[in-house]
Amino acid sequence: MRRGPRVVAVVGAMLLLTACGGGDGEETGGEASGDADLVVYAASSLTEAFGEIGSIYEDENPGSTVKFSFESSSTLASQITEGAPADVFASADEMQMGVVEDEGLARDPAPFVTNRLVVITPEDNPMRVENVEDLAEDGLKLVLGGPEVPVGAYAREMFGRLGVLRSAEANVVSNEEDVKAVVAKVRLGEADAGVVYRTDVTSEVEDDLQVIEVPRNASPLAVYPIGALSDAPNPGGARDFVDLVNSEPGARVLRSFGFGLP
Amino acid sequence: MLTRRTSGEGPAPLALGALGLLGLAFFLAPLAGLVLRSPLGRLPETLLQPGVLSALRLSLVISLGALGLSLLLGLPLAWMLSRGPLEGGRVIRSLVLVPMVLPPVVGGVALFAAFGRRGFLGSALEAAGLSLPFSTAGAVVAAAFVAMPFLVVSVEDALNSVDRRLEDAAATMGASRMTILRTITLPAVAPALGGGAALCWARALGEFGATIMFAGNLEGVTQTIPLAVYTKLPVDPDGALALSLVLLAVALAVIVALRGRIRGL
Repeated sequence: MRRGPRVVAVVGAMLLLTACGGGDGEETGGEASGDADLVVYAASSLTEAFGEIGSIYEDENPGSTVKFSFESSSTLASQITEGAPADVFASADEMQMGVVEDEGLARDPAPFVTNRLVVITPEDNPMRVENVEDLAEDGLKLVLGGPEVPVGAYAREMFGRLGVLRSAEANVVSNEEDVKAVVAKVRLGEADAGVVYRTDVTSEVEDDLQVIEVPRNASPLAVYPIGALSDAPNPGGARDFVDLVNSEPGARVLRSFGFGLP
Repeated sequence: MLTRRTSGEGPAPLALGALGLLGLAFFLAPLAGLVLRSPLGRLPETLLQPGVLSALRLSLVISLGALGLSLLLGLPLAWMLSRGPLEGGRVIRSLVLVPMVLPPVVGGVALFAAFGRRGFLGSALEAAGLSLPFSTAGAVVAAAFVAMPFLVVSVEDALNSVDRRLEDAAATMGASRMTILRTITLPAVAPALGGGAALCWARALGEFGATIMFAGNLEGVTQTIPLAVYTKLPVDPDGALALSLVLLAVALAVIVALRGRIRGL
């Protein structure tokens, strides 16, 4: 007779697991724990730089806390149009900012940084990748951001400029949900190469990766817009944060992580 | 409280009833919302879009593959835990349960560590020309890793409650162990086997975290329905909602089919 409870536990566990299946990135719910809280939705390539700018903001505004949600800009844009209580949105391309703007949800977004693509391979570079064209070689395992994710869209634009889009696409083994996931799979050595932003090769990961530069004429210039959101629960804080990002101290941090200025 | 209240008095039942209704609404509202928002009128053509159709096909192949793998390996494991050399092995039994409680995305990292090409088994597999990460086979492995325990637990549980005297009696009459298994044990556990298989399949069908980590996300290769829902929501909400509706319908069907089969359903 000990069967009943156990089966209930099994079903309970199943429901629990199914429930946690999807969301690994939505921890910043924006629950108001004080007026001073600021919720920033930012492209995952901004993780390190915005972390530092967030500390500066908190130092300048004692008592306030910045909460970040770093995900692909496409995921963030759809969360914002679903009514996510965010104050600021920083997108890795103008298209995803456009999605938010079209809904009338962003106030005067403007470009604040630029970024370039690089090719990364595991440290031992198993397929001996020497240049971008090598990514189109037969049998190479390539991971990119999905076509809807900015870094994936830029990468495809790059392959198009080089005239190897079709053969490179044929090598794609996974369309990752954001750029950090591309870095993770290459760093684990499970993929032979990936295309990421220059700024993703941070000090934490550079020892595990080889970086191959993309020629200037092949790499699209990634332009990142930032804007306060119209429905921001904390409009004053949103404005202050955008101002800080555009200020000289903000620009210094962004440059130190390898971003360009528009 | 010195005096005990007799039942049927006081405001407690009313409050309980209200909370219960609230609980029901809490569960039903999201499901109703999903149905209301989904493109019901255009469901057939939405589901027939190439990217959506391939997700449906892949989900079927991968979840059935995971069920097959679970039956192949999970049934003997359940037997071993109940009858065989691992009988009463509490530690091993607990280990079998781990994937049910482990966050699936951690399961994906663990699968890399074992079966990835730098994993301690995967490097040998790779040398033999078998590469699991980023393949349909890898998605089957990820789904089976997460789903097999559901089968093992229900079958082992049923095996434990089979009347051992029947098996012993058959043995004294000279039946071989295989005959006993076929004629007494398996028929006795058949309902639990069916229920466990259905739960296992449903869990495999819904697998997300371990799959996107270990098998990646590629249309037509590893992009199952849950991955397609996640990927398509920003770009093709109709497709994502139509696929969500399919999973909701399957979930309902499984629950209805299992009613009375498994206690608690």
